[in-house]
Amino acid sequence: MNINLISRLIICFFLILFAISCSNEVKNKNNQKEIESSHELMKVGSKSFELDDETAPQSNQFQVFRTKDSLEILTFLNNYNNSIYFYDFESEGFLYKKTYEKEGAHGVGDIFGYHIHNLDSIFIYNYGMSKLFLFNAEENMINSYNLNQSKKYLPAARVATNSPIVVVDNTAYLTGNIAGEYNDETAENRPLLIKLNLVSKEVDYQISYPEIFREGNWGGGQYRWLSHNYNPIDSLLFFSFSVSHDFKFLDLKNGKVFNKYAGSKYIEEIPSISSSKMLNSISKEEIRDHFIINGSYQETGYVPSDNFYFRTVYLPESNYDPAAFNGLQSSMVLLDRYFDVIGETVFGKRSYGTFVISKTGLYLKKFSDNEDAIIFDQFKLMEIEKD
Amino acid sequence: MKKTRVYLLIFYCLISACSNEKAEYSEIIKTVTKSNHTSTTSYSDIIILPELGCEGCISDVENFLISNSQSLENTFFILTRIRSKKLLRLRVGEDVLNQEHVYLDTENLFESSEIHSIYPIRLVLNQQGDIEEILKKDPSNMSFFNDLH
Repeated sequence: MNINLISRLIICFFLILFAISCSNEVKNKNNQKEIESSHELMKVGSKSFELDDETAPQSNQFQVFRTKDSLEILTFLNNYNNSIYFYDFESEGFLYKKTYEKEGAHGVGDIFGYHIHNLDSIFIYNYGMSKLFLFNAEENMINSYNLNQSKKYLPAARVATNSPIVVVDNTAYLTGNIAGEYNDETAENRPLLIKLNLVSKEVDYQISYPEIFREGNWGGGQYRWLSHNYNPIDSLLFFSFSVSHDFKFLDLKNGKVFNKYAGSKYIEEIPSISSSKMLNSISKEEIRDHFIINGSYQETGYVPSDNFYFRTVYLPESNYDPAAFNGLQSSMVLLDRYFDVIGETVFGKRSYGTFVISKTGLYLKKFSDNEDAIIFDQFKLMEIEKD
Repeated sequence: MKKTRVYLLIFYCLISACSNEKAEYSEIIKTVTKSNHTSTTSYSDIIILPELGCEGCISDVENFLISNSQSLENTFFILTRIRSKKLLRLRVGEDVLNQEHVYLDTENLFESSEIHSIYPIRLVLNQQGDIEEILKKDPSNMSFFNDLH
């Protein structure tokens, strides 16, 4: 055996050892799952909004906002015609739509998301350009903001119902991520929250994945998605990570970050993928299956009228068969204003999608084969009656 | 000798996985073409286009279908994993969807674990209508559309 061969064998040995050392499965155990429920969500009403010939009920983003006269307006994005639709939330009647040009002086390209701060300040987001545009009531573009990043693993903002643009004082808060698993990821080089100063146009970053994300391989895709929302009463931004049993909070009054338990009693643990980040030999389909089989945490919100936080959970599908798959079973974990888990309501498969929050409570969007209407069921937080 | 056996075993596994995939595709495309009053022997290629999956890859193939549907007589399109028929009609066009060589799979026939794909798939057929090759339109595949007619 010559020296060359020995050195090659040694290199191979260390490479294999390195690959194996990176492929350890980690399990994020849910240690506090036995909590007695005192509350549940009860359906108390329904609303239906008729659609035109150019609109399908699926939309990335819905928002209910209140006008100066306290009228509530339902809005949603139609990607097909680059428009935002406006409906009177109470009467369910169509009001108007605002269509945004893709090109020209007021062109915004393909709209990915939006935020209506008020009718004179409408933010439009373009994902490809990584740009935010501000329009006034006369539909003139009055400002634009670059979200171009300087971080190693830049957070590409993802604006949707479950990750809205939150504008507080002169700062716009957006979250996003970059897909993939990286061995050199740290708490500093892969931030998730983008803080855009609307006056200076400077961009700053905060909030990273919980430590468990750096300990294992999570497939780089679905498990890396995050959802956030805002509690305006307590000025708290909060974040839901798909594999973390906790909420992460950012207090905008003092800048403090803290965690609170917000786990589902139906999830025992979420394991990482047992394949090395370095080799990345697992297919996208296998990652998706792992995600379905083991469950995950999804969108989140705060309902001021009933003072509670909610968090959607995709429940684990231990008998998952892709050929017979007909949707995920979901539940909603409920927390009171003081961060105590007070209940969890389970929904049937293919029952509800996304949500809107109104002054009259939480509305969940129903799955329906009717493509000519958007239907929401209204839910209220109710105390469970004890025998 | 041991080494050769290991290689043979790996080779056998790869071949058998591939033939399972072909058999499953083959069964479904025969059923689909038959229900469309035609057969796999009438086409040189079948493209399976999911509405949900790799967005960029899907829109590439969708745009290709919109621009070439009139001239592609030998290619059969199966649109599957349909999220919204209304949106699909708006995006692709009623005239394209009504063509004989375009089929809407409303039963999600391609969902089994063997063949479920987030990418558009091209099945290259021989003259007997059997699958010769399976191509995947992932972001790195630049030759997916080559020789389609």
